[in-house]
Amino acid sequence: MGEGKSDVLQGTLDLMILKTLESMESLHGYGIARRIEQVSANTLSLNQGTIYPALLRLLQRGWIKAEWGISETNRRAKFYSLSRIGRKQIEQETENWERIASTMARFLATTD
Amino acid sequence: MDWVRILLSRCAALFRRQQLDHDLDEELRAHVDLAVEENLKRGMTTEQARTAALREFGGFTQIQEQYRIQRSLPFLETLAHDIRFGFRQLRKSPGFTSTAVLTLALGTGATAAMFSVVDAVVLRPLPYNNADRIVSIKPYSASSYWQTTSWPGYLDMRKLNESLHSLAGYAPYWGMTLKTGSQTQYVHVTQGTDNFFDIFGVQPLLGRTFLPGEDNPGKNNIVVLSYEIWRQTFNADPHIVDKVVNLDGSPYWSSESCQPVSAFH
Repeated sequence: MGEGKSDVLQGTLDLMILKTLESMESLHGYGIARRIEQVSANTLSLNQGTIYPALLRLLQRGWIKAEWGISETNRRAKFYSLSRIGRKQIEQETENWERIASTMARFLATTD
Repeated sequence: MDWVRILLSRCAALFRRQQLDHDLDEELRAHVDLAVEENLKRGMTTEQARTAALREFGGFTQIQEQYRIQRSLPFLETLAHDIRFGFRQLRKSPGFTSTAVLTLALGTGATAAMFSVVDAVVLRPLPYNNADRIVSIKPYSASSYWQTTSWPGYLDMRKLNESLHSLAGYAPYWGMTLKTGSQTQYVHVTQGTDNFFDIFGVQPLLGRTFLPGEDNPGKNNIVVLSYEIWRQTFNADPHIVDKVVNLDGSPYWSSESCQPVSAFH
């Protein structure tokens, strides 16, 4: 896609969604996608549509819940929020990701 | 634990396909609408706003497809489709359908009947002790025709027997009329010698089998009921032992006041 943008790594999208919901409480799909774009300062090449399979994956695991609501512009939309299990899961997923990131960082440092 | 929740959720989705499809459509439409609204606020024309929203979303149908596959058990959904399609095709050609169904029914029926015979005769072991050591002795006449044995002939064989543990005689497949209360019934009867049950090593559920000498005239008024007769005709009466059973309306059977009756399986 665009130059200077990174593809989203497998599995990282789930954590981005969880963290977004942790800070925003309740948000619809479009809001989550925009938030991820904003936080990443548009450095990620992300098809907004791909968050829906990721949301479904989290729903099926019971980490998030969904309910229909009305958007700020009076549009009926599905709003997502963290479940109790999801809230606990964030910690573990964060640890996981930090371990991978630090391992990766060590590799990069040795080749320098 | 995750996989249990995922599996349950996927199974539940099987039964709410239309509702979920409708939900997904509305959710994705809402996404595009929200994006268009924001683009309009940024000053795009309606046309530009829509094109940009769809471009940012990515492949609309691909996402729908990916979502549907992940939502449920696509294998089962495809199977259900195929079955429904099959039934529609069958309904279209009733001639072919009835021929096929009839062929299958007859084939299944014949195979089942054959199997139940083979099962009973060949596969299921006989419920006797040492079934492989029980033999049937067939006497032949001088001109090598098979023939039955006379009562004195049997007694001679029994007296001279040294090879077998015991030797019993029987006369199979008599029919007799069994009278119980106001009901009469034709039953199959086998008359056996006093040691008949020893050969097979079977014990009655209730009462006893024959005592030595109970095959002699005057003492041979004892009947052992089969399990089926005991259940069906006598309602599995637990006090059946020593009751009088009227066979063939004969005073020989009925005049005795104390006929021991046993049931065996």
